[in-house]
Amino acid sequence: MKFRIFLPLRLLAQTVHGMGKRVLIVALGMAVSAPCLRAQNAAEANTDKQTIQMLLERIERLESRVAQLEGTHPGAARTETAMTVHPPSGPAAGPATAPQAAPQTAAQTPEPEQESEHLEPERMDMSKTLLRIRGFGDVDFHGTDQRGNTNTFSLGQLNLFVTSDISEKFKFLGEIVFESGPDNFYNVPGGRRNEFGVDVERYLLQYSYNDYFNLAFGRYHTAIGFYNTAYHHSTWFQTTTGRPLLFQFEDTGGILPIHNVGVSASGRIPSGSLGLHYVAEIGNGRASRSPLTDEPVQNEVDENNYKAVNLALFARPDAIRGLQVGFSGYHDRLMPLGQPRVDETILAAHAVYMLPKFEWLNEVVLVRHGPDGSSHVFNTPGFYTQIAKRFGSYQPYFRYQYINGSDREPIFPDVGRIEGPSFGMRYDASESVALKLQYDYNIARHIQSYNGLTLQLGFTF
Amino acid sequence: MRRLLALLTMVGAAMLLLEVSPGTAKGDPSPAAQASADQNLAIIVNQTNTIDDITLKELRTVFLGERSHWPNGRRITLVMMDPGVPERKAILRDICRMNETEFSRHFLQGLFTGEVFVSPKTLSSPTGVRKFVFNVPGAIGYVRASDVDGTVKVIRINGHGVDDPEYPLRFEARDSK
Amino acid sequence: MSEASHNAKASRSAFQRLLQAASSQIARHSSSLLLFMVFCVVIAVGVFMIGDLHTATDQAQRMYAGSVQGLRQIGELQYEAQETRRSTLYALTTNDSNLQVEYADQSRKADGLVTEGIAQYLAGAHIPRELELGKRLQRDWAAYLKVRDEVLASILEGSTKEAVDMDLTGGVPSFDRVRQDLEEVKRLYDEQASEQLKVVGLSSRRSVLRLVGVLCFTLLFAIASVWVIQRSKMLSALKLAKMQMDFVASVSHELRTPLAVICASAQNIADGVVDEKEKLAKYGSVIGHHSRQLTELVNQILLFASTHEGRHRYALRPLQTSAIIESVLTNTRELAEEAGFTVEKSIESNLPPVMGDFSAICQCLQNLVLNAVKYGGSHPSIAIRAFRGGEDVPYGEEVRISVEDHGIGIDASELQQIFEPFYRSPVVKAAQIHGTGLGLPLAKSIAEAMGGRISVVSKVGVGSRFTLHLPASQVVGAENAVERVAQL
Repeated sequence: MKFRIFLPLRLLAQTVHGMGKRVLIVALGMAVSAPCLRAQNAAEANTDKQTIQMLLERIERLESRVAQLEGTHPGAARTETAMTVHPPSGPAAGPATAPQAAPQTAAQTPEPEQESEHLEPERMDMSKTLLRIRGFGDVDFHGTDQRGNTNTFSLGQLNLFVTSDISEKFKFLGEIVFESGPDNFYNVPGGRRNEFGVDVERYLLQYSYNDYFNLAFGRYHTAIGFYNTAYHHSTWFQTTTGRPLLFQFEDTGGILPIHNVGVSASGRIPSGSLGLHYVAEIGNGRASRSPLTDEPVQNEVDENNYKAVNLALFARPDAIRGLQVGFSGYHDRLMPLGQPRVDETILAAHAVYMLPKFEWLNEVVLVRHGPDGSSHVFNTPGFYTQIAKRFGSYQPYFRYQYINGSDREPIFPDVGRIEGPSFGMRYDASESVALKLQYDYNIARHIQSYNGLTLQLGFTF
Repeated sequence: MRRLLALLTMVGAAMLLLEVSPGTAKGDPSPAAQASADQNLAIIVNQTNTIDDITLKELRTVFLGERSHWPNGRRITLVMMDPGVPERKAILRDICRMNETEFSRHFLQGLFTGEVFVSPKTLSSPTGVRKFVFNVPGAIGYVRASDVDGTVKVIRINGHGVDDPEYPLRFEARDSK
Repeated sequence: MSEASHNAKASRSAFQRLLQAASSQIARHSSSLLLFMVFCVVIAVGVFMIGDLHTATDQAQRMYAGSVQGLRQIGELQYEAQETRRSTLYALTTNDSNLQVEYADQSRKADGLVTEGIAQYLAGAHIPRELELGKRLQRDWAAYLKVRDEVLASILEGSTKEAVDMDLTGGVPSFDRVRQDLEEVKRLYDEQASEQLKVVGLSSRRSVLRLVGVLCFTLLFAIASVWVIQRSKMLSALKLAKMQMDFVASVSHELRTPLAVICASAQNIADGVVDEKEKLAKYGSVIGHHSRQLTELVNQILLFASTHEGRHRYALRPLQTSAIIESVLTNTRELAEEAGFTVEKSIESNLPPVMGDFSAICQCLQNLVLNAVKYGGSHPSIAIRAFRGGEDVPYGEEVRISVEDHGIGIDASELQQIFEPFYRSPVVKAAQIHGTGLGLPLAKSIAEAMGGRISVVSKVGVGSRFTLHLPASQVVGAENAVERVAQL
């Protein structure tokens, strides 16, 4: 009986023994593959999750878009749904590419054919714009051996260059600049110099009738000389780390009315191969720089009824490609506080030669201030010359600049005489990033000459 | 300091002279290259455009955005092909005298200063260029002479038609590299 | 003059003979003719029905094809017009110039199809309203395309706002006008389709009514025809049965009479009533005479049967007319003398021989002579004449042998019927003149077998003239025929 009971067990044991090896191999295989399978499953699950997540995000975007359209045009809601279903002739939904970072607002979808006869024709979305934003910025490290100055990293201006093609003839242009330091550099406690503020440096509605007549309304860079209208608030465009002294911005001590609020007309003058151009401007002019804490650009209110007028003429002869020579005359009337009114006349001449791989800029400016009741005219001459040549990605440059203002100058007695050379090298690390290293030797009246070194990383995005 | 200034001025003048020196500037097609040209690049405009002939210098002002309107008042819309396309390389070399980076930077600066009103449009194929020019009255573009059809008008350059042996714009074999 | 009148007379007689022949044929084949008429009517009805159905089908097919084509045309116009506008709007949704150009291309392709469709519509317009509508649509479409081109140019240039404004101020109203024009085209088409449908409906109802009417008429006609045919057959059968009964009755009488005489004579002889030689000879002569009559009657009946069934064969040869007449006169002399008739003979000289069977022709003429004797009435005179045929004979010469009597005559209405087997005129039956009704039919069939015919001219109370027309024989050496007759 015992044996009979154990017989089936024995058989089972034998069977198991015979199968044992096979079972072991299979078990080993499963043990090895199990993690892989788990991993694969996990990977697949992750992939599925990601896909689902992406699909969910897309659905959310589409739903929000539908809700937005329903809010503006209730009758077009169902057509938006049809738009998302219908393929290839449907609207392209590609992402905006630089410099066109405009929000993607799809036009109203056309209705299905069987409903077209009961609905009005599709209308274009009035909310659609062609706003483009391009950014410029820089980060600097600079230091001088001048007593009282420190070696410091500093954030340059973050410039959002905004354009919008309103129509064939009209265009909006603006420069919104985020910069550290208040609007007026002078007599401001040092702590406030680290504060960031925002300025609308340019704010223009441009009208282009043809090559001979263009208008710009708003806040613009005054067409005095060459540099002010060639370079705005972007160090990436400039060869050097900073603007010439002559063309420093008002809020950093510049002596020229860099910005103006008014109307500017420009265009070509039919002159054949001479390539004559004109600029005629009228605006509020700059504040009298008195007191020094005021906003130097008269954005909203002119301190007097007298308008600043500027007229510039320049030539770009066909014979010498890249050459531009011109002059300008600016006149305004200033009313410094507690002082006689001052007639301001600024004369400028320039001769620049700019090629893609070479540039030579030369400008000379004469600022004349004639206070009322005095026969004396205070002349403040200034000039700079800048030369640079590109060797591949490297562009060495040299600049010499000079300003000589009288100590009794009624408007900017603080300027004095400043001059000195600058040597530098610009390296374009990419199409959008430039690294500059510049050495400055500054000679100033009343203070000891000092050296300065600036390392700047300028970029555009 | 004065000596330094004088030295730098002389260096600058020398560099200036080197840049201004006449002769074969970079980008000018050599007579040898012209002689061995494969195809001509046709400059095409809309059928309603009144321009029939243009000088190379005027063409340059158009392609650099220095002109914004045609004589009939329509705004100039410049049509370029994708960067790297042989036709675009030939145009940049022979008309604009710039490379790709310089061309991009030139238009970016022009838009930045406000001198250029509209940046060029970029299309990926000759057919696209042709259709764009057909649809836009103020458009100007370029295609190979063999890609021209009856929907667009081909303008002469310096009085030379696209079939003339002295036509200045040629697309050469090396541009395809 | 006499020749002309003779010709006219001959023509009239020929026409009359033709009419008579036609009437007899029609009477004989009336059932077949009726069936043929029914068949023709059915065919005509069938053709009419098929034609009507074909017309209705054509109308419906044309209407359907027109509907399908019209719907397709309108649908395509509407779709491509929408596509033109849609592609223009799509160009706004992207900043990629390549895609914008592609949409512009799509829009132009679509507008090309619309322009083509409008031109096709104009080409197919056949009423002033369609033409006016088509031209208006063409104008409005051209106006919209002008705005569309400017909108596309603005989009491609990058002036989106301007494109939007242009579309709102110019594009939307002009496209609205196009849409309204297309709606009007569709409405016009619907109206035309409804009218066509009404016309087809009316036409269909009319066709149905016509068909029902025609079918009813055909049915009635067929029923009537069948009834008439059945009745005619029944009447013919009845008539035939009656004639057969009359024939049996008459034949029975004809058989019974001589048989009675033969039996009586034989009985008398057998009874010994007659013992004298002369009387015996007389009885014998009577028995022989009536036996010959019986034999003659049986032969006639048998001959009629064989000719009627087409079994009798004739031996045709050229025969002299004079020989025939002589034989006939010889065979009927006794009968005529017994009846007290005089027979006048007249034979034209130089008559051509005739082609025929001698015994059959003689039998034919004998029947005529016997009838002349039987129906001679109170004028016991018979004239037999043989003469050449007139110019009215269509095919060659003929010889005519006429037997004329001055008896009771035959009514004109019975002139055709007397040649029908077993027919006996009611006048004759009322006069109790016995006969089998086979003599004339037999004579007629013999005449026709010889290639000739029998004609009759008769007037009631005046007499009758039966003429046997035999075609002249072209065989040379006809003098041998006299020797053969003589031998027979």
